[in-house]
Amino acid sequence: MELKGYTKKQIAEYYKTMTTIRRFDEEVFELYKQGLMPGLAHLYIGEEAVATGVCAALKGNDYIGSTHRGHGHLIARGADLNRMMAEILGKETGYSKGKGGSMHIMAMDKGILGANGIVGGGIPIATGAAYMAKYKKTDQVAVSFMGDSSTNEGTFHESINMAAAWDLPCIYVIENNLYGISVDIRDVTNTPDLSVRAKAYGIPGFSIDGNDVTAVYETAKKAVARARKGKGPTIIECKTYRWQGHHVGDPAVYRKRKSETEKEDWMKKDPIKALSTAMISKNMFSTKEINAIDAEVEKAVMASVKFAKESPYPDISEAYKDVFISDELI
Amino acid sequence: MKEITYAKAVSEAIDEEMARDENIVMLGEDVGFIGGNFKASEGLLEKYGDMRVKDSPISEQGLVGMGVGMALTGLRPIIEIMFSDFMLVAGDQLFNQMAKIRYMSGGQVKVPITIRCPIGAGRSSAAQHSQSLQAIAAHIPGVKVVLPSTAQEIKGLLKSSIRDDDPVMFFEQKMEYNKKFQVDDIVEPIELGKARIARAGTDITIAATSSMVMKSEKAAEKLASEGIECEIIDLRSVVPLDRQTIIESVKKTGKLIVADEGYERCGIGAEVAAAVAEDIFYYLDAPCGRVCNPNVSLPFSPALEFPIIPSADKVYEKVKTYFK
Amino acid sequence: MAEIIIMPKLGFNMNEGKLVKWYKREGDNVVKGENLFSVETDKTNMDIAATDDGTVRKLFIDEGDTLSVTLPIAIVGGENEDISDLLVQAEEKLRGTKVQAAANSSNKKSVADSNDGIGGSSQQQSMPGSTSERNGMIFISPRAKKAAEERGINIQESDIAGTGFGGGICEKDIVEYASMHKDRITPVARAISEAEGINISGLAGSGANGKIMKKDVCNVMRNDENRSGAAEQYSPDGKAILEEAAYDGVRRVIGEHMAESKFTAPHLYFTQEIDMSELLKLRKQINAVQEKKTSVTDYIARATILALEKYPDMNSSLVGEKIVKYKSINLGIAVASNSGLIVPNVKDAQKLSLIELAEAYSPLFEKAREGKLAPDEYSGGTFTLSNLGMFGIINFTAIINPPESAILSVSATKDRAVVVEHEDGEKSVEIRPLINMTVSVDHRVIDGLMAAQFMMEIKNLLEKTSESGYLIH
Repeated sequence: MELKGYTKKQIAEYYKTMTTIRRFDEEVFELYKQGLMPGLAHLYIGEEAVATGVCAALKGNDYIGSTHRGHGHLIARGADLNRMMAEILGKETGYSKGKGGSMHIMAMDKGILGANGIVGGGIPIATGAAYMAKYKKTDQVAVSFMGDSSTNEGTFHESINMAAAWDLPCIYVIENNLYGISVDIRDVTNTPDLSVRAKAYGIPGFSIDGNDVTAVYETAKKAVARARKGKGPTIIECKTYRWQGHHVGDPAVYRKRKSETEKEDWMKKDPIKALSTAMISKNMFSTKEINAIDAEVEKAVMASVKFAKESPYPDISEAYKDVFISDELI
Repeated sequence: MKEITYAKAVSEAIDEEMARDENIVMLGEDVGFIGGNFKASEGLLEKYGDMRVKDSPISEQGLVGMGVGMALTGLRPIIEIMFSDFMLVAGDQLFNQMAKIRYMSGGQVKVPITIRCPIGAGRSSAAQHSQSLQAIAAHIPGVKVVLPSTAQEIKGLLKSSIRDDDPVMFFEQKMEYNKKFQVDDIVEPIELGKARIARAGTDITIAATSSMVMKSEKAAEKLASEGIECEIIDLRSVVPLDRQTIIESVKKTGKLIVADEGYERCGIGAEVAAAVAEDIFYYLDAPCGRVCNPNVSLPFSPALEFPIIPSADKVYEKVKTYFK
Repeated sequence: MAEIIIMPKLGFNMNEGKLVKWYKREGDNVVKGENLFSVETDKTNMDIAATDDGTVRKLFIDEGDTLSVTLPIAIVGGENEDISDLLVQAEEKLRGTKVQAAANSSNKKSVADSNDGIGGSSQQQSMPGSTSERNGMIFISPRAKKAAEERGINIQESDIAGTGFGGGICEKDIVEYASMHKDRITPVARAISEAEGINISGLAGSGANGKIMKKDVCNVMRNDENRSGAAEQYSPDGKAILEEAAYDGVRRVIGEHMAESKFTAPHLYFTQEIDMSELLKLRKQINAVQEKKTSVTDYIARATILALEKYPDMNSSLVGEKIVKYKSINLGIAVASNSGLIVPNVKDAQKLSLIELAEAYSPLFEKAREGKLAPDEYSGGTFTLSNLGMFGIINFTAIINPPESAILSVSATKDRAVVVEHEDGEKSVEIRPLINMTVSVDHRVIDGLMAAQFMMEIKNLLEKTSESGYLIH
């Protein structure tokens, strides 16, 4: 990994963001194992570079649309860890007062259009935000994060087709971690590189190493600039891998079908390790400095765990609110 | 007062709203250049330009989803789905996204989107182009369901639907588009959730939606000559439902039938009767009835379609069964 | 060969024809050339003849019906020929076609139709209790039930016909029932029930047709108020009953006696006003020296006896065909007893002096009050005196005690302002104690003059006591 052209601040940011995502999702897993987490969570562990790199290319008021595996996107965009963790535990202090949970966290103040429980469900929504930006000429862009398997949903096709036809400022980031739950994308799609689909829409498509945060950043930066110039959308396929199963508690036996050591092989390509190694080897940072960042992250993540654990559950009356603007219309 | 078509009333409503609020944009198939498949958006492209009146590809899911994204980020989109049948194609975006995002966000956001789609049979359009699926929309929490009757009503109700900050599914009756109606020169928005007494009466209450209001009026004329005075309630919206007007009416008449063009099973008739059941029980002289489409898909041949779709005659016959 | 006869097109512009007359009925034979039917065109009526010999097997329309031209109207063929194919053909052609039935025949049809089905025509007289009650359960809509309650109609006991949904009772049925059984509850009873908040639903009325009367409502009230005491009784016309007793015994005897007297003897009444001032003075004098006190009645009795001696007609009886005047004056004096007025009499009272009279009557009065009179003590009287003066009565007309022919009613002594004529002819107004006395006479036996004279005699005897010294003897 080359760190040329990056400031220390930038690299520190990337490292901190990725480590925060890693530690946060590890703690989510712990809470799940302790039985404190209702429902399921879908962990981003191993994919940190994608969210970090893309979001680093965005401005404050740009939009992102996320997926069910959205903790990484949310953290990379600057969402509040406390409110995230509280929401994941179903507490009143969560972003959605406990009504959304892990898959539906939304934080409009950070431009986060929301995680989405429906595969491909968020793609047209992000595209709509881009339409608004173009109509209102706000200079904003929207990023639509999606998994490899959602590229087979109709919404992928419909949304990118319209974005391409109308030059909407939207960037479509495919996180290809090879699996849709247990189904290998390579078995159900004829093109190993999903970015080739961009050709169908007459837009640029790139397939890159999703575990190289700088590569992600560079590609995203170009795509964002293109969009902001009004030139239309781009597809960026980030090749990466999730270390945990599809959801917490998924033993992921399907991994071993193609290779016994698939997970281990990918873990060797840990994006955080790759960066920290470069940070040291390029003499940008000392181990002590990296440890300091680790400690900071640790503190923040554990604080969010404590906050979430100690927060109260919402009152039952909350269930009857927010269906409509007026709570009397139910 | 002026005489205009139902379709013109729609385009006037959109026009007047777009003129006063630049955040309103409309997307849909054929809405721009030809002014809509049913001519309900004639003249709007010329007036407001391509970005505000957008001819779109045939991508119902994508369209509705984009509408949601626009609504979340400050616009007030109108998305036209050409036939209510096709709302099923956009089912996820309508009922998992549009309807639920406000709730799932804990009230952080509002989704001020209006989905316009035509209902109604009678054109030999067969099973996939003739449905009236308002009951499906009404079933999902988070969606308002509006069913205008006359052109006057549609103009006022569309305005208030567009101005409403909640998602609204607005069902237009395709057989009415070309009919002429008397409409006020100035039409104010009609509050959602307030039914209208279309005809006062004493002998039986007919709660009707959409063009069933006009069909009930026709039946009521014939019934009046036989000494039966019907009270017709134009429900205007099923979500929110004006229960109070129905209850007050049934206290007077003792009898209730619901007239709606959807299928019978789990339809609007079933919902309305159940929604007011507890409040009207002791005032009822006879059980509630419904006039609606039978539980069959709409057939193609006029010889089959016309006899089964709910008509003025069907309302007449149903009322008669209460007055043996 | 059988053939289908069609409605003929008799003109270029003729699209339909009206069948005016069938000359043949089903089963009739027809000969070629013979008229089969007559059809009305827009211009005229035209007779159509049979085109072949045969039997009329089927007629598809009636006289007066209108049908499009070229459509089948009949089949003519061999008597036993199989015409099933032709029938099918014809029926197919006629299916979906509108036969404009003639006016009166369509009325017949609709009347017949209306009697089909549940609760068909509006004139249906539902049989009582037939459809609205099934298996002991009464089917009634909630609205109708409420209406019944409001009107005090007990649906369990009233046989109300149901014309509502499923044959059940609807509001209209209750309203009709109520108006048919108008005043199911009397206005008074309703007013009371409303004022006192009494629930009249289910209350069985004691009036005609179960009409709720005031007493029924009041019974409910009483029953609610005190369950210990006996319930109040009410007469059928709503009068509260204090006591009920059998009409028998002495009372009945007296009653029948009096009724016979009143309805047999033509009563005539004469009233005198008697100034008692002299008599009262006399009485005072006498009582001052008498151990046995005399009452006013004693003097009146004595005066009556003396008057009867003078006018014996007053002491007579109509016995069959004879009028018998009695020498014995058996004066009866009416006494109030538990079973009514009883009249003990003193036989040959003319033989007794005033004091002796007083002494004779006294024990009789006591016995009478206690109901212990012997029959001969209250029978055999010839004249009755009834004094209700002690009750303050100022005038009354007693009923003659048969077989007597007269009875004297004595009223109360009352101070009155009277005009008095003095010896010098001067008149002045003074206060004098006056008594009204009225004699009732049987006009078959006694006439007015006699009665008037009799009364004048009594008046004189009582007023001019100085001249009536014999009064006390």
